Amino acid sequence: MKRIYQLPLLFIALASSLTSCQLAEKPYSFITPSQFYNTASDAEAALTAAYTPITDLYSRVGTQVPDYSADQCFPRAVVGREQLTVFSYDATNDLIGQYWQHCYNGVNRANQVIENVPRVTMDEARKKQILAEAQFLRGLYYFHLVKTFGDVPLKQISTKDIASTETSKSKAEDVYAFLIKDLEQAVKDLPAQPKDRGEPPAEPLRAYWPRPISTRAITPKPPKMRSPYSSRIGIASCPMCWIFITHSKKMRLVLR
Amino acid sequence: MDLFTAFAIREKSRWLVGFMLLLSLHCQAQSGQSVTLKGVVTSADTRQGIPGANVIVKNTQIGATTNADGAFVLSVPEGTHVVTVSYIGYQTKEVSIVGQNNVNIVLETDDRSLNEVVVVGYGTVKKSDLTGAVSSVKAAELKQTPIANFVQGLQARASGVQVTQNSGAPGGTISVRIRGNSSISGSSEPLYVVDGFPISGNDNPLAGGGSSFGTDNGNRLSVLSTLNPNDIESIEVLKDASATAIYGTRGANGVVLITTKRGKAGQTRVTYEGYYGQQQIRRMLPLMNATQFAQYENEIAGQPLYPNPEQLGAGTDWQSYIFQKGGMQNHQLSVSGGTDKSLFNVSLNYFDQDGIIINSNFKRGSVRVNLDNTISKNFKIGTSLTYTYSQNNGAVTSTLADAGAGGIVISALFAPPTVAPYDAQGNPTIFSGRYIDINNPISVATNVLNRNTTRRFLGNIFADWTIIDGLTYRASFGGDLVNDTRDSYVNRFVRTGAQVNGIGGKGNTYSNTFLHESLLNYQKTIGAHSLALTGVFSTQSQLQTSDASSGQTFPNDLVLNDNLSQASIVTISSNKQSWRLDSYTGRINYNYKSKYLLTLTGRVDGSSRFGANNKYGFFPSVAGAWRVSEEKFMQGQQVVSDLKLRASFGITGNADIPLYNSLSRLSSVGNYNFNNTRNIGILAANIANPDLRWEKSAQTDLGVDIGLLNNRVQLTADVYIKKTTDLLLSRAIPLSSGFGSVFGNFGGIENRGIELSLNVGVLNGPLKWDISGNISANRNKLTLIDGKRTEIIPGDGGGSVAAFSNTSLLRIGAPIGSFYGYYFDGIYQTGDNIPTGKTAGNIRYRDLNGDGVISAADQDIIGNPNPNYYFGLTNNLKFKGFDFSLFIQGVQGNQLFNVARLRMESASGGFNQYATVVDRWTSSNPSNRYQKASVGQRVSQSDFQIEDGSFVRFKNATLGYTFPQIGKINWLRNSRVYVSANNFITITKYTGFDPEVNTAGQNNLNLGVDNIGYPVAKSFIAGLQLTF
Repeated sequence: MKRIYQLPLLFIALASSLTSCQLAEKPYSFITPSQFYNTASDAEAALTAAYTPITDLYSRVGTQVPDYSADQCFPRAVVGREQLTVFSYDATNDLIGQYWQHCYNGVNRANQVIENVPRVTMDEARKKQILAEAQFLRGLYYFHLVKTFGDVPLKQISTKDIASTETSKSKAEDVYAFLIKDLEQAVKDLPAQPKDRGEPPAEPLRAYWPRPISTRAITPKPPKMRSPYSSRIGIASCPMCWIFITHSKKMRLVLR
Repeated sequence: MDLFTAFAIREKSRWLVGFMLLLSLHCQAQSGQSVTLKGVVTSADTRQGIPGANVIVKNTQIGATTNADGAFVLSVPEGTHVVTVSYIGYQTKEVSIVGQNNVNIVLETDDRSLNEVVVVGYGTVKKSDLTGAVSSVKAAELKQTPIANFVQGLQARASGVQVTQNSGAPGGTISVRIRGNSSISGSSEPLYVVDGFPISGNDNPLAGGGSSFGTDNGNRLSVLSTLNPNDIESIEVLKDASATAIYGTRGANGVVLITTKRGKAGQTRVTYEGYYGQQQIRRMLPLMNATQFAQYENEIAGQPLYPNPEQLGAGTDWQSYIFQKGGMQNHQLSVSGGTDKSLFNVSLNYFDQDGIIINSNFKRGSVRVNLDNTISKNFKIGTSLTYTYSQNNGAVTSTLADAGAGGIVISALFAPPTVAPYDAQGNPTIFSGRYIDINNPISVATNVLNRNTTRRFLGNIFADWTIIDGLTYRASFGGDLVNDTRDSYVNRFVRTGAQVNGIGGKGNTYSNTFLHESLLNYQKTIGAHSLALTGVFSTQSQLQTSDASSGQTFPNDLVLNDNLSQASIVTISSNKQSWRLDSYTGRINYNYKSKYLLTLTGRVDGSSRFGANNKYGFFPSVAGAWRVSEEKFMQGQQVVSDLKLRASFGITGNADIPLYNSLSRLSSVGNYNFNNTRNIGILAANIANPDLRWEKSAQTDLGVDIGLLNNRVQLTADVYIKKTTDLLLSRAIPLSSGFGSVFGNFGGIENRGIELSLNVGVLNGPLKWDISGNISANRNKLTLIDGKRTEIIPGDGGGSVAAFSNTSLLRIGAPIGSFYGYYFDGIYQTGDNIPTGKTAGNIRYRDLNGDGVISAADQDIIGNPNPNYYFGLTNNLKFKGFDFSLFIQGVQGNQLFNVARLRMESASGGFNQYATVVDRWTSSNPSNRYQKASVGQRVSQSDFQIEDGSFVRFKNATLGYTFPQIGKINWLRNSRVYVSANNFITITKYTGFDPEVNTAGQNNLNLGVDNIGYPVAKSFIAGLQLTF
């Protein structure tokens, strides 16, 4: 009697043990983060992804929001542009929403690079540069955010699960402290002159970085920008000018 | 003679008489026992002998069973008058044998027997022992209408099952809803199980390649069209939780079990069935003729584009050029038979249907082999194998976006009637000037190659081992290998092709599914207690690969897509994906005296689609039934022959969710220029959701089965409530996360409803009359979106023509598919208070919030595509050799969004309009319905285009005649001819082609959308059935 029951039961037990680990999904046509961040080209591609929000930002809203908020023009009443000049907008304004979204996309992508590239096996010098560039980018995006919005959520690590999508906002001073730390770190490892057009230079940073800012003294206002429309020629160097202007001894007086 | 002697002689003679009497009695008795009765028992409809039928002398135990030919020999006591003849599935008959030694007994099939066996998940059960809600549809009902797809045969046959033919194209997309819509992002189609092999009901994942012209959802082929409906023996639809929980994470939308024909022991039987017929369109739409169109165009342009409109007359009736009478035919040849050890059923089928649009056609050839073999007393093996090859030349009926991308029927509606169909050379005219963006419909029909070829192998082999008495083990292995190939080419005569000098492509999809099941069954009866235990282990996996290549800009159109290297721009893509499902199931069926029944099921399912934290789910159910008619207090009365009360509760799941959504997927996004060189950025495009799991449905069902007057009247009623939670939806998340939304189990839907089905054997004499009908009502409600939003409105819901895909919204408390738009409030007349930006003659929309501005805030729910109820009614009559049946189907209370009217009544110039636009607003004709002609104006979605889609359709009327046995012709056992009319009368108020439509295809959110697809046709066929 027993033997007869044993056979099918054995079969079931065997079959189930063989199959229990096989329910993990096997993607073929795309890769998952566990398969990425392994080679030098992975690291470069991830870094490029962190740069792309700059293009998104500066192709439109990155310049529109500060420009229209100033007094040099009064734009046509489409997609809420005129609201910027008279400061009549709310959270539904398209331009403000995109500005916010592009900056945070950049923050998240820079975070991904900073977290994952250290484990990549590649030329250490270039790796340090990549991390420095990512930190610069993160600092830059946060600068945009804090100068435009004031108190904003400070995301120091990339978003990995649904639970961490909700972050409350931090004080502007804390954001400034964080971004300055990032920039100071970046300055150490960036090359004096950028290797490729489009990367941030360390020399101007180093040269014109007098001392840490006293955040209480500064109420940030969007400063004017030079040549804001060239996305091809070292776009990053332009915002560098902002920091240069902001932090130079002369201008601190102006901004108070 | 003395007295003594006389007495002695008398005594002796008494004894002698007595002895002789005894002797004669004895002789008589002997001759009484030896009355031999011979005969043959045959079936009324097949005229074949019934093996294994019981012939019993009434009220005795003396009986015999018939042999393989239905013949029997029985010794009956002399003086026997009546024998009772019975066999399962047939009505028991009492036959008088007075004065006869040889009788031919004909048994009628008994469709109302409670001993009838019903197929349920992983087994069969007697109808009387059923505890769940199950509807059965027999082969004869399925095949009554000429169908390419067996799902069409289910329409209006079973309560609770709503079948909508989304497209009237041969083999075209069909939607089935069992007890309402239960999903938004997953699938709401039920699970189909063919001979134990679960297959998907979702539309064919069409191979890609080439232009997307003609590949939208409304154009798709139903994958179930690749199965031959003539092979089907019966279909069971499992509806409530108790019946479907055994399919666990795939049972939430109901399960359709398909059993194909198997061989029966007896003489080999060869059957041929065939029909031929013609289909035609029900109605064409009234459009403006050439004169009216010319006058209209003149008005639009403000100048006489057409100097003499009156002389143009009727012009070209484009619809008549693209619609045709399409022929359809079906031939089925099957051979079945066997001994008690070996049974077989082999069938061949050829089906060919021309559509009602020119150059559209669906052909299918299939072969099936079903074998059953008893190897030894305890061991049986068998197979069910089928291979089909089908080819579909699809008509391009892409949805109404802009004129240039218009499919055949849209182009026929847009085409100017002032232009001739063919040019001087006999080619379809190419429109020019104002009409350059419109395709010549004849051109689209004849100059677009849009072919899908599907090769499918579906089969399984199984072995049954009886281990000990009552304990059986079955192992089965099956495979479903589907290969779909697409050939597409659009040449220069059609706008899409003209813009790029030809666009074509090829694509392939391979979808291979494998299944293994191990089933243990134990049955034991102890006294009045009966117990059946079932345990199943099943594992199913699918691997799907596809590749597609497209080319555009060819030097000429001669080689079509057979040499893509001639194209100057070639794009290639490929894709691969897989899934896997492992399950452990158990079921306990207990009954006490067949009076109190209890069923418990539990299933554990693990699917690869679920996130890492939720790989396995548990789905239990419980059902109980009480056969009141078996109780003592119910015995003795003659009215109620069957009364069963049922109740069930269970939890089922829907695992038909998109693949790979629990993982974080990396993709290339954007690029950045370093040194003026473009670099590609790669990053995670979504957040992983390791908690992703199935959509869960909890369903409660209460049912009653009533049989009256010896089951002449049978009524089944069910009332149910189904709550689905953990619906997959995209939830918006704070943008500070770096992502916009996350996909997870957030929503909820509720369905509740009533189903009734009724069978009445009205007359059973020389004229037989049966009525069967069903009616169902379902109410659907969205209960939860994501915990934050109360509604999701379509992106561009009120505004432009481009918003056609967004006809409905999701709102908590409203049914899925609710239409969304403005309220139409007439036309601004001269003298009215007209707001700036509008003039007299424009449409006025109601200002719901009274702010003086017509904006998105003035939109609301304007219609509901879900019906109030739907029904089916069949009348079957038989008299002598004639049979007549009438099948009526109806859907009531649903609304349709006649989206085509947004363009066809826009009066914006440049293309033809519906005839209603003749009544447009002008200063001399102040219409309050149709706006004035004005260049380029748009019409917003409003309740003006929402129409009542209710209809009653005479779906089938068949008249047939079965020839009597012709004398000595023994090789032809049975022959029947018939004629039938299908969809021949439709009663509806709907102004479109046909009220049965959904150009959005199989879609959860967009229901009842008519954007001009492929209309449903009516047909007339004649057929023949021969049995040799």
